[in-house]
Amino acid sequence: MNELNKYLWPTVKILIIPYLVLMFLLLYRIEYQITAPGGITEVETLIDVDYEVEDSKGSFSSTYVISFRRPTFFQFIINDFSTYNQVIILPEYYRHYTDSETRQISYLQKMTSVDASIIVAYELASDQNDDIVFDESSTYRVVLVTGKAEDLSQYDAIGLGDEFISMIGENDVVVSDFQNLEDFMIEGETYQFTFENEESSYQVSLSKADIEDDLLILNEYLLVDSSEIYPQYSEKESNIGGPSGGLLQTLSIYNMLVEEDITKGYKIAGTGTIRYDGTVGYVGGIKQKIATAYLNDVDLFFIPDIDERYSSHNYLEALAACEEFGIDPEGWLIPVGTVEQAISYLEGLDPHE
Amino acid sequence: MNKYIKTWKDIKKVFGIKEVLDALFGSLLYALLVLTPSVLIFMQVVSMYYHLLSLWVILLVIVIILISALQLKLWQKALDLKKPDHELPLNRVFNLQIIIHGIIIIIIGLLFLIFFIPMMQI
Repeated sequence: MNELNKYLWPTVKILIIPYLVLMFLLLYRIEYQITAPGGITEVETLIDVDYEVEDSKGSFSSTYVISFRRPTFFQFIINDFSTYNQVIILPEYYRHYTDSETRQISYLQKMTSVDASIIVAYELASDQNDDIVFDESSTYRVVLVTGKAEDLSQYDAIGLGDEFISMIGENDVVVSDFQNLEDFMIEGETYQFTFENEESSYQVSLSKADIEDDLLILNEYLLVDSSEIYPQYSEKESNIGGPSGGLLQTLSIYNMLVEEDITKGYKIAGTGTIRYDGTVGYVGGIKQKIATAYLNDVDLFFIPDIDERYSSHNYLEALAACEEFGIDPEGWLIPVGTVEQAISYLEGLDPHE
Repeated sequence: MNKYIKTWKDIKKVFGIKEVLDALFGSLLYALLVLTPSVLIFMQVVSMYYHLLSLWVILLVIVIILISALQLKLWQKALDLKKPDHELPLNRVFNLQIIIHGIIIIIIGLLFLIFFIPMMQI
């Protein structure tokens, strides 16, 4: 080894400074977030419904992008070479989350979005197919922890995705409706909250400020009780998180439950969250999703239609991206406000040649 | 193949196992110095340009083959420097070693391209 050291030392001497600079660029992380094109995933590979219908000639795919926080200097520099990527300063409310917490939030969003898709698809399909069993008893409500601010007094004790059970408020009133918590709390006092996760239930003490200032973010979801539905479905583990596959998941599940193949042989992709009433919600990373769909040669792409409740619109962003990448949006980019609109659009299409 | 095995036995006899291992560790250390930033660069480029994943895997296979060749050549050089007057056909043995490593790396790369990457994209 000494012989080799002596032999290589002149080269090492010259390269040591550039080497250290390169390693610094590759390891030092900065407070930005980069979104880049990802890929498309056929929903059938993720969710399988145990029911015999006509084989689908086309496909429904959700579109995912790669979004990563705190890139290195090197990534920040090479980002400039891409026309598809987007870089933003990491939002303040997001900075305190570790990578693991961000992944947890993302998988939680995915899990709840799959349940929302099941609910909407089964309800819609049950109008078309009498075999399907799905009613009010097929779902149950849960209140989950979906976010924690850095200043939350019991930050480490409360886990993301844990279920809120109840709070013992003023005069020992047990409150299980999370929207009324503040009414049973007074300033300066702490109250016992009960949460539950897969392993156990636990108690923590929180003050009114924790709730009033939204330091603990709770959201109500409907989950599916799979013992109360027919047909059964199975869901595979996925590396991809986030709620933006909701619309396409719903369409694909619906297609697995009805006789007619609504894909008509088309390779269909898109983006948009799904709400329990079947309406489609806005998502982020539109430009990168359009780029992903374009690079994967999809035949048509569903996008949330203009919703006046928002200030910037997914559809307009998508049109701008189509113009930038030279895509003709006519007949390719399809804005939809509800899943029913998407189904109607597909039913009106001629079969793919 | 017999010639290849016989040359390795001769290397062991001429240099001694301690010196062969010493040369190996030296070459691994320097190869690791090249490998570390290369892997970091690839990981970061892949995350930014994920839609070109297959291309990056092919390039990564080429780079790993080159780094493996570098490590073997450094190993050979270290042995040459230890006993400059030896008469063993080191060049032939290490070139064959480079080919064997290259084939293994290509097979692993193909496994990723054909099986593992499509599985990961679910």
